[in-house]
Amino acid sequence: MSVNEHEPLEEGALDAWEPQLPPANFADRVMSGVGDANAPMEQAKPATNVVQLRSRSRWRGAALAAAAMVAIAAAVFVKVDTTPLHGEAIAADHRIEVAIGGNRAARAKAVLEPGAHVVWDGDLVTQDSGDVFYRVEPGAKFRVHTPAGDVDVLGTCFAVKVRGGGQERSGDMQKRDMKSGVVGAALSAMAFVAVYEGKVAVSHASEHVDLVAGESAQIGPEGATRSTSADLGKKAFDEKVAAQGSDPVSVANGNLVSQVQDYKQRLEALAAQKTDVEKKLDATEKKLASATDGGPPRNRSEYELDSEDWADLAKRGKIKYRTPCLKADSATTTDKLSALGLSPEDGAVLKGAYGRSYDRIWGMVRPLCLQALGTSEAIVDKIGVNQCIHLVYDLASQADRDGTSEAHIQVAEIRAGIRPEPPVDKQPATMKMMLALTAEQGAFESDLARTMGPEEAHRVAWSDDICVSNNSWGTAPRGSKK
Amino acid sequence: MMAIAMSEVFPRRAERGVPPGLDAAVLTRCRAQDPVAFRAFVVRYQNMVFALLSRMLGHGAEVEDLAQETFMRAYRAFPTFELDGAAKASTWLLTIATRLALDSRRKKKLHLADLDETDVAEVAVAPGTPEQSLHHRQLGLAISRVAATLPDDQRAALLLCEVHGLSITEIASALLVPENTAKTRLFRAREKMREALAGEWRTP
Repeated sequence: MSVNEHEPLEEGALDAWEPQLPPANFADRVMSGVGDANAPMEQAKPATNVVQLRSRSRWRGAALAAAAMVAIAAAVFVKVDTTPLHGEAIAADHRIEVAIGGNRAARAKAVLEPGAHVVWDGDLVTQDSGDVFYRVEPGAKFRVHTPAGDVDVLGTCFAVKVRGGGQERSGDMQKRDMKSGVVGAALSAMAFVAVYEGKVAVSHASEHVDLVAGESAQIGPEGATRSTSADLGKKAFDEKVAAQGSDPVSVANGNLVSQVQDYKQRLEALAAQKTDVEKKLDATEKKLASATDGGPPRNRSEYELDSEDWADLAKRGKIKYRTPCLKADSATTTDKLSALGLSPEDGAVLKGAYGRSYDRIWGMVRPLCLQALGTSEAIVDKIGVNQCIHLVYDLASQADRDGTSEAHIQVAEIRAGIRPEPPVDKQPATMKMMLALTAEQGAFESDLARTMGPEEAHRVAWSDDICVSNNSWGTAPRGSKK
Repeated sequence: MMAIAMSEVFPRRAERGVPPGLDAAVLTRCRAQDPVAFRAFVVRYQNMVFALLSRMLGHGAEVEDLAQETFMRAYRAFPTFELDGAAKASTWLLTIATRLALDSRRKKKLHLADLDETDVAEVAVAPGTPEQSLHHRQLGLAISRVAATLPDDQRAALLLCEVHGLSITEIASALLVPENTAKTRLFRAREKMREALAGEWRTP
């Protein structure tokens, strides 16, 4: 194969192949599915010192209460006026989500990063600090006022970052801690707006800049500057904010930074303790679930067994196995290959593997069948492999029921690795046959792997679309017989 | 024998079918399963996912259902997505969509529906003269018909490479096959497309 044969198609060669476009409400459809999987978005609550914790079962209540006590100082404050259309939210140590514009029919949702503060009055939101991500329902007029300028939107999804221009806040002890750090802050207010969906208008003094999805703008003392790339815009904004650090004003606020850092460190230490407690609880929960529910859900075929599966089967006196179909021709048609994600050229590989699987099984069963029936080779060949497997099993069961039952258990124990495999000449017929059958799918996969590679061979061998025979044989568990 | 690096033989195509990535802050929020950020993620990548699925399965309601399933799986798996890992979000999403499309084909034995003239007239918007527009529509139909004759895995390899710009390593990962297998499938798909469409592509 020469390198030229690998040349890509001409640029745009497939452009005329028209794609289907998503419907206008597709994102909403997806999000409704996401909503089903999630608890509803947290609404702002008329309470202070709300600790956000996941719901836990009763037995962990005491431990959680302890965690809550530890974490109380790191709580998120959400304060709402008596009128639901008015509210205030501060994210102290971790991200919070709030509905803005009323509790019943929220017009917008906002996600506040730690350090962000918003106050809203109807559809007018004042964001004086931090990073907030907004999602506004279509049709709602919505304005975000920042110290650097205003952002007007009409149904969109965007983020606003505010730096500098700190506002005075009132509140309880923790808020005063924050406030003390903010007093005297006089950094030049700057804001960065990135639009992910829809359109927004950014205003600064008499300047007005319209942004569409993918664009961003920076608002500062010099006015509003648009960037056609959110990433580039953010980079420029971050650089500008960093550059402010060398301003005399910023230097004068060194104490502020120090105090805020100290506050953050205390909060982080408390949050770490809380996380540690939660992790321990999670680990205990998983152990408990594993013990009571039988472990995590299975993500492989019920015939693809590991040692634990085999140990479990041994206890129940069962074996399970999968073998490839014995008729290779019908299993390697073009349709079957396509269903397996294979090319017609792969047919020969698969057919060869099927053939060798048949030879292995028949090579083992045929002499056992001859021995069990005590008849001629011609008759055994006429009976065929499938009937022979059942005949060998049935005749052995009739001759020695307990021995055959024990063979199930011993084979499962051998596969579980808790019993050594006896020498071939010591194996009774049923055990020999069961050992061969329970190993066949692995042999088939190894055969395919020589050509396809291990990953592809595994995918093909355990595909739901490959022609196989699934079998489960059982007997009574040890000690259950009367 | 001198070994030729895979990247030299199969250079990554320009990512014409992939929108610009979301910034890290949004992806971080997606990782935390923030619904607001995830909605932005859906809006950004929905056209890309629809393009892949509709070219794999043909146009129809099935595409919309699988596109939704693609995003739902991404949402559920986002906490395990490595933002600093080698895979980009778009590549990861295309991988999910590709596997869903291949699974669907395997399970339901779908047959790619040939687009009739009405369908194409509805979706095709070709610039230029009426003659060029007609040729564009006819070429689209021809590509669709030839692609429908490719085995699913070859069509997937072709789309992931030629339309979405994935590398051989990424295609192999999406198709769950070794790189050499992915390389062979892509080679055969290109060969068949060139053979069947050489005349069409030469027509101005």
